[in-house]
Order: sequence, then C-alpha cells, then structure tokens
Amino acid sequence: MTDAPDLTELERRAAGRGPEYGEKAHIVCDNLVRIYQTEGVEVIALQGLDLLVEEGEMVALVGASGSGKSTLLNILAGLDVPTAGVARVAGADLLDMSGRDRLRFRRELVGFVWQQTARNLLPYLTAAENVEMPMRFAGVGRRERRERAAALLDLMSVGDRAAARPAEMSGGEQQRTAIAVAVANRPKVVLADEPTGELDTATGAQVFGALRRANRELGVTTVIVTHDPEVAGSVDRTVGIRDGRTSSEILRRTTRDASGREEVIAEEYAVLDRAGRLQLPREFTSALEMKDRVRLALETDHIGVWPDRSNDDHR
Amino acid sequence: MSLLLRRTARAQWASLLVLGLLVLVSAFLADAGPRTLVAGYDRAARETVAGAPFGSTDLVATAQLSPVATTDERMRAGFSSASAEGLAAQSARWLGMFPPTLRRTIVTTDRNAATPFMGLTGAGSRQLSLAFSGTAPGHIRYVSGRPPRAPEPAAHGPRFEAALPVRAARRLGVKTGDVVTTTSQPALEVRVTGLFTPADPGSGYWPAHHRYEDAELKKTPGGQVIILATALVDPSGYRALCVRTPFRIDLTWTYSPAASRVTARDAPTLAEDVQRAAEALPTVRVDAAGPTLDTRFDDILDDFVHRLRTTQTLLSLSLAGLFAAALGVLGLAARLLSARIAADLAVQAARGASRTQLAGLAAGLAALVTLPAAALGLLASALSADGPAQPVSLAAVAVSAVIAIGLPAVVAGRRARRRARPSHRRLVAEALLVVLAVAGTYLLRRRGLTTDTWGSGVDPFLSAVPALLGVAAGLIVLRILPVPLRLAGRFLARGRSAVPFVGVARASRQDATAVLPLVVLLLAVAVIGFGSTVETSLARTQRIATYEAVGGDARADALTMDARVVDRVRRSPGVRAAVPAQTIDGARLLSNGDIADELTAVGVDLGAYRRMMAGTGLRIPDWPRTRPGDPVPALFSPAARRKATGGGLALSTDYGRRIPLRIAGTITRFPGRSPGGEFVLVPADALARATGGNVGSVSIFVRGEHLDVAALRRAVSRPELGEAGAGSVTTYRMTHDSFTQGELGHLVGRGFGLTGVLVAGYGTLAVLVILFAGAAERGRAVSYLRTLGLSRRQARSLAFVEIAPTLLTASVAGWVLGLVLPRLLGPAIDLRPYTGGSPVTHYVPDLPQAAGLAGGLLVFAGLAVFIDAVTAARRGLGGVLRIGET
Repeated sequence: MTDAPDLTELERRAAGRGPEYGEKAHIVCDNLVRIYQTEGVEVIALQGLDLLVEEGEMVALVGASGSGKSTLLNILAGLDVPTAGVARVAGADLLDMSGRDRLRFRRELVGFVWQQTARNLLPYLTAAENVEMPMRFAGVGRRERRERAAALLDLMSVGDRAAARPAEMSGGEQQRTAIAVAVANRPKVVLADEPTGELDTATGAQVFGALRRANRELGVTTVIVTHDPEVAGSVDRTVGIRDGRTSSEILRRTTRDASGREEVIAEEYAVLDRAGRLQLPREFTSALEMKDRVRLALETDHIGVWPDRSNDDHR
Repeated sequence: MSLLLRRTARAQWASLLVLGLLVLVSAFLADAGPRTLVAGYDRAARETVAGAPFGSTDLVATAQLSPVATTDERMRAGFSSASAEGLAAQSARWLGMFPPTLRRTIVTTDRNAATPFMGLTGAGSRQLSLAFSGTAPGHIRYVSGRPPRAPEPAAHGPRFEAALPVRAARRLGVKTGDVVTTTSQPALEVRVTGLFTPADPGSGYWPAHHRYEDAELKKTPGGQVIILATALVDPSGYRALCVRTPFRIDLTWTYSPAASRVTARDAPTLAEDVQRAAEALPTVRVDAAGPTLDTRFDDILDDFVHRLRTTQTLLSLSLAGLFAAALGVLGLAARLLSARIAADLAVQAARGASRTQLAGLAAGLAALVTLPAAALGLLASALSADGPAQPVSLAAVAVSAVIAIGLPAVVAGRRARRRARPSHRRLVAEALLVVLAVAGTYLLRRRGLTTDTWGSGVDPFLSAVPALLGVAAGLIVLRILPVPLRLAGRFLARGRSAVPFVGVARASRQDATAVLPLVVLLLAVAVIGFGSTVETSLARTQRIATYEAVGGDARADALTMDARVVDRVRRSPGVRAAVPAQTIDGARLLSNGDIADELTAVGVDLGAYRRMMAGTGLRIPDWPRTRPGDPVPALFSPAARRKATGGGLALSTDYGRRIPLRIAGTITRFPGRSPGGEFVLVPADALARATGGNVGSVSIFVRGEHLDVAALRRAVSRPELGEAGAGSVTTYRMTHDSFTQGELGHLVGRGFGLTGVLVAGYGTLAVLVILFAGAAERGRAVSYLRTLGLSRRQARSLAFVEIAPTLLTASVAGWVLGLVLPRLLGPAIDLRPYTGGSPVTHYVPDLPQAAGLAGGLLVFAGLAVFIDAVTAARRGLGGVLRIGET
C-alpha cells in the first residue's frame, strides 16, 4: 500500500510521458474511423486506420475500390470529417477546425490534384490564370502571381501553354497545369487522387514526373491515391489499404549493384498497428489454409505463425 | 475577382440572360401593373364624378336673409351678406373652411341671391324673382337694351332695373323698357333694361343655371301653367333689395369640383372632407344663421370607394398570385444559375476561396444582370405605362432583385460549408408557411379584406393569403404525392410493361429542386382558376341580378293598366312571350277589418312567369293550389310581412271588391319593386276579378330576341291619356351595363384576363424548366435503360409517364384550389357593388376554361416527349454513356 504513487508523482509521470504517436510526422492518422450513411445504410469506410507520412515523403495509397482510400484522401483534404480518431496534416488537427481554420488549411497547407480536369481547372480561364486563381484567393499581389505562375508552369514543362484554356490542352498538359495550381500557394502537402487515371502510359509517366519534380524541388509532401502500377511502383513507399485499414507497405531503396548499375529494391512489409494487430496477406493465409486461428511462437529474432492443426488431431 | 467574374459571366451567359430577362419582366410588371391600375382607378374616379347627374357633385351652401317687417327695412343694412362684395367675401370664407384636399378639387365657385317668386300684375299667371349672380353677367350677351344699373327713386320706394333672358321675356310678354309691378306687399316696380341670351349656349354653365336662360314652367294640380321668370339685377340693385325691401332673400354659394382633380387615392378623404365641411359651416354665425351645405358628392364618392375597394381587393389577390408565381420562376432561374456554376464554385472552394468570396462571386454574377435588368424594366414601365409610380412597386422590384441576387449567393455560400440536416430546416420552413397560410385564411374570413379595411386600403398580408395558400397547398400536395406514386409503382411492378413502373418510380423520387416549378405551376393554375371562378360567378350573379331587377329581357311599364297595352306589347317585334303584372299602389292591407298598412298590390300569374323565365337562373315560386272560395294565396315582401300579423287578412283597393288573403310565404325580390319595399303578390286573375282588370298601372315582363325598344315604348305609351298615359321601357342590356360597365368593371375583367395570361406564361416557363432540366438526366437514364433493352418507343413514353403524374396533380390541385378559394375567402370578398347588391354565393367552375387547361396539359406532355426526342437525337446513346459521371 505504501508503494502507491501520490498525486504529484502521477502528474510528473503524465507530463513526462514519452513522445506522442507520430509526433514528428507530417501527416498523422491514428485509429481513424469514418462511418457514414447513404440511403439508410451504414457504411464503415475507415475502421481504425493508422498512417504516418514524413515531411517531404512521396507516398502512394493503393487498394481495391471501396477499400477507403478516397475517403482517407478526402479527410486529409479537409473535405470530409472523420467520425473518430486523430488526423493531423502539417500540424493542423482536422477534427477540430473552425471554418476559418479550414479555409486557411485549404489556402496554405494543402493542394489537390484530381482525376477529372473539371474538378481541377476552370474551363474559361487560361492555364496561367488557373494557376493564379489560388493566389488571388489568398490575396497575393499581381506581380508575384504572374511570376510564380510562369515559374510553376515552366517547372511543369507547360510554360508554352500558359495562354491556353483547358479545352485546348491535352490531358497530360491539363494534369500538369493542375499540379501547378495545386502547388501555387506553396502548400506543405499535395494530395492527388488518381492523377494519371485517364491518361495513357506515356502521358501518365509525364504527369507523374511533374508530381515527382514538385515533390523533390519544392519539397512538398505528396500523397497519391492510384491504381496505376507504374505510379505505385515509382514512389518511395506504397501503402496498401484493405477494408478501411492500412494492411501492407512496400519500401523501395535504390542501391548500386556490383557492376555499378542503379537498382531499385522493393521490400514488402505487413503493417503492425499500435495495438499489435497484423494483417497477413491473403495469399499467405490461403496457401497454408490458415483460418479462424493460428498458432504463434516467439523465437529469438522472429515470431513464428503456424496453421491451427488442433482440429485435425481430434478428427 | 473581377477576372473570375467576367470569365464566369461570359461562360454562363445563357443562364444570366434568362435571369436578366425574368428580372426585367418582373420589374416591368411590378411597376407597370400598379401604375396602370392606379391610372385606371383615377380614370374611374374621374368618370364617376363626371358621369354623375348634373349638379349632383356641386357643393351648395345655402343661407337666407330673413324677411323683415316693412318698418325695419334698414335693419339688414349692416349684414355682411347684404352686398355683392359681402357675398364674394363669404364665398371665399366658406371655401376657406373646406379641408385642403376638398378645397383643391374645387375649380369654379358661384354665388347667387334671389328673392322668392312674386306674382306680376296683369294677365296670366306670371311670377318674377329678382336675382343677383356673381357669374351670370360673364356668360350672357345682350340682344337688346343695356345691363341694369342702380335703382332709381320712384313714388313708392325704389324702381329696380333688371334684365331678362330673351326667352323668359317672350313668355312673360315683356320687352326692353317695360316696367312691371309685383303683386307683393309692398309692390316692387321693375324696369326691364335689356334682354339677354347665353353667350355660348353649349357651355357647361347653362345646365346648372337654367333660370338665367329661360323661365320655368310649373303646372298646378288644376292644370294651370305658371311662368316663373328670373331677372338679373346689378350689385347696387342687390344692395337695394337687401336694405330697402323686406323680402326674404335666398343666398346660395355653389362650389363645383373638377372631375379631373379627383383621384382614387383622395376619394375616401374627399368624402370625409365633405362631411367635415358640412358640419363646420352651420356653426358659423353670419347675419342670422350659418349656411348649410348640401351635396351628393360624398355619397357618390362613398359609392365609388366601395366599388374601388372591391376592385382593389380582387385585383390585389390576383396580383399577389402573379407576383408569387413570378418570384417562383425567378427563384427557379436563380437556382438554375446556381446549379450551372456549382462545379466551378467547388473548384474555387477547393483552391482556397472563402465562403464570402464564393457568395460574393455568385452575387456579383447575378447582380451583373439583375441591376441593369431591373433598371431597364422600371425605365420601360415609366416610358410605356401611364399613372404615377407606386411605392409598392419599388418594394416588389427590390424583393425580386434580392431573390435574384441573394439566392445564388446563399446557395454558393452554403455549398462551401457542409452542414448536416438541411431537410429538417426545410420541413420546419414548409410547416411554418402552411401555418401562416391557414392563420391568414382564418384572419381573412374573420376580418374581411374589403368591408373592414375601409379607408385604410388593402392589407398586404391578407392579400397575400391566397398566394400563400397556393404555395402551402403545393408543398403539401408535392410532399404527399410520392406516397400514392410509390404505391402505384408497387402495383405497376407486377405488370408486364417496364415503362409505367420505371416512369412512376422515377416520378416518385424527384428531388427538392423539382418541387419549385411544380409549386409555381400549381399557383399559376390556382390564380387562373380563381379568376375564372370569380368572373364566371360574378357574371352569373350579374345576369340573375339583372333579371331580378328587370324581370325579363325587357320590362315595359305603363302608368295605366289596360289589356290593350298588354296585347300591343305582345305583338311588338322580337317579343317571344310577355307576362303582365298589374300593380296597384296605395292598396290597403286589412286585418280583421282594420287597416293594418298601406302597400302595393301586384297581381301576377307566377306559373306563366316561371315558364317564361325558365333557363335564366331566376327562382320564381308558384302559387299553391286553391279551391274556389278559399282566401287568395299572397306572397308578402319581408317589410309587408311584418305588418301582416293577426288574422282575417284582406286586401282592399279603391276599385271593386275586397280580396281575402292567406299568407303563402315571403318573397324578398320582385322585378320593378325595391327589395325593402312593402308589397304583396297575389294571383293575377284574383286581382283582376276583384278590381275589374283595367285599374292601376302595369309592368309587362318581356322575353325575346332583338327587341325593338322604340316599338315597345310606343306600345306602352298612350299619348291620348296625357300624363297618365306615360310609359317606360327598361331593358336587360341597360341594367346589365350599369352593373358591368364603367371603368372599374372593365379593370376587373381586364385585370383578371391579363393576370391570367401572365401567370399562364409563368406556369409555362415553370413547366419548360421541369422538362428541360429533367431532359438531360432522363436522357442519361434512358440511355442506360436502352442498354438493358428498352426500345426507342418505350423510351419515348417513359417521358410521358414520368412527367404526367406530377403535372396532372399540380394542375388538378391548383384548379381545385382556384375553385375553393372564393368559397374559402367568401366573407372576405364583397362583390355586391358589382351586382346591384345581390351577394355572390354560388361559385361555379368555368367549364370551357377547365377544358382549355386540360388541353394545355396535353400539349405540355406532348412537349415533354418532343424535347426528350430532340435532346436524345442531339446527344445519341453512345455520347451519353461515354460522358459518364461528369
């Protein structure tokens, strides 16, 4: 009984708690839940999703349709509000934002690129005017707007199309202009939803290249939702989402092999969440006919997982 | 911002143009409508005053210088009215006592002073009055002699100088230079110094001053004709009359209002002013007594104001409906604009536009067209419509502009902020509207619009009640409609064809935006239905009231009953049937032998009369069967019925036998008799038997086509009898015109007609919006369905099935509302000024118009199919599918 800590001791411990989850990360999703109703049917789009993205990172989100990746992106864009959990982007708490905060968030912290041009660009403005538009809203001076728009369009290799309207541009040019628009106000984060979805492979590669340039040269943290294996295969990290949770991650490193050639090594990891849950890839579990239960054993440097054979023994 | 505004405006020019045009039209209507109405009301006010019987609108102040004893002749010397200047000063003084509004309408004033008519010595019955007129000398021309001057002294008092109208002098048998002497005590000698004639016989002066144009002729009961002549004296002559003769002198000051200065707005004030002046004048102590004011101007104005209020009420109800429909369509256009820019606004919101910036853009966009359009509409109205601008117009234009600018702004601002549960708010708003409409109806029924707002004008809230009811009914109907449609869908799902099922299913799942045009349509149909019901019912009541007043297509009245006159009338050209009503004035109603009352006895064959009037809507009772020897059945007027108490009733006339009566009932109206009068109807044969037939006067009720009024007049008059042979003819047309003609009657008819056309236009616009707005979406659905095997023909009928239920429901509900409204508002609308006092009770639907409406609906449904076909052809199946979700 005498060992029980007194109140001051408890307060000291609380204050001195270790670093918070993802404290240093640029994008933090902790146990994110999003439930919504359509026509009376309850849909659980996100069921406790965890995700951390470091500043300047370029991450692709992949997953089957309906897995919740678009919901996640909308939440990160501040267009949707999660039902529960923590969502922080560049220090802004997305669950607790006033209208003014939300506006500041959209103006200064994030930029978006969508799949459809209609959602990215105003059809009756030229490319340069479209790039200037976010700066206008933010109250940037005319001269600075002009210069920056021209610089950004050049960076995206569409400088020669500055005076063209979206309808006069190719799909790839439209998307690259959209990226310029997205980064116009120097956001910390760019979110792209299927930016190459409507493009052929070559054009898609150009657009991805533009995104990559924005990421590298402007230092913008970039999250891309994609189905495009080219895109998914070209980023540093690909996060797989399944049933509203992050399920796997693929990390890529560039190394030089013995003959000095650059080589990309991709390693796939399963995600271990903070509660210790782990999603085993379906092909692994079905290959070993794992069902309902597995047996675990802690070894010195790994954990062994075995199919549950106890039923067979009893048979 | 301005770049975005410019570019968006250029991109959305079509929607903006529509919005601008609608604002222009609304502004024009909102300004031109009230202007025209007020101009019409003023025209009606002028027409009423100008059309009143001659002199009846004059305000006539009268006073007297009382007669004095011959010894006190000089007593009146100090009186202020005893000189021409005094009369003029008093004229100005009385006018100064009129309230300002009344004073402003007075354009001519006149003052007259005259002695009573005094007999002249010599042959014949000749009488002379000496008069002084402030205005007559300016309107006459001397044909002989000279104007009168001051009286000259003579043996017995002064010898007056006076001038006579030529025609009066001829009747009197005097000429210039003659001296006439009165038979009065003391006698006056008057020298005729000159004869005059009107300088301009056509001038408006003369009808009111007939005595200065000619002598009046008066017939004594003995048949002797007396010549009453008026001679004019000069101011000094008038002074001498006052201070050197003892005779009474009648003073009149006449004030004539100008019809051109009477406006509808001033009419109630003027009526009150007349009362106030009439109360104020007698309180002045002048000489002996203050003047009294006499006029029918206030009655004429009151009557006009009554009619005016009814007109305003009816038109305000109609206009409120029109305005609501106009606002509805304007709202639709604003919503369409909002929908068109929604995607752009979403892009801008995502790029960091604040709610204020988005709302500002939408508002600026709408204002870009709304403000110039409103100004143009007002300008066009100011240039084309006569009548003064009304404050209510500016309010209406402001409301239109606020809706046109505010709605897109609100929608744009709200888009950026996503809040849950807008449907609850909408439900509450709709419920509030319904409650407001019901409460308004209750208030309206209790307070009335016309009768109690006397003087204070029409209550804008209460005028809006029918429009509110229309909107409320629309909301309720359209909330309920999906339920039966869904049920029908369940039933149709079992059927073989997919088209009705899909069509009804789609119809029952229309979203909120689809409601607005349907509410507008319902409102439009209700306004048309209301107008047509009121007009039809009014026309019917007017027809019946005319028949009640006239008694047939014409009524020929002869002062002396004669069977030959009746025969002559029957044979007149165009007469199909005629029923005589023998009328004996001053008959005595006896109760147990004592005289209970004097009344008018009318003998008429009700059976024949009813057969003759069949099909006119006039209700005529029949005589109960009687056996020979029984008392005669009699129908009493309510006033006579009150006197007919006690037993042993009988009717006695100056002729023949007395007629024993029994009460067969009461009758409130009978043609040719005033509704409040005391009269009793008895069977014609009974009255004829008792009196011998040819006594009293007769009214002959006539039916027929192309009646020859002159021939009828000849048929009833019997010049050989002199005055007693007089006859008159009243026709249906004359009486009916007095109900319906006149500016106000025209205004109601034209107002309803024009409102109907305009509101029908707005209804059409609303339907077109439904059709066009739905066409794209329907086209997409049809394309998907066609990939599933829907044939082209089935696709075409799908549009019909989808549109028809809502269109039909809104129209039928609107029409029913239009029919029910007059009944619902019954006590609030007082149409009696248009029916000669008969209340309008039977509201009947106008069948031709209902048929027209049904035809219009069919056209619309056909149009839906056509529009769908056109849009489908333009886009093609593959195109629709390729476009996909965007």
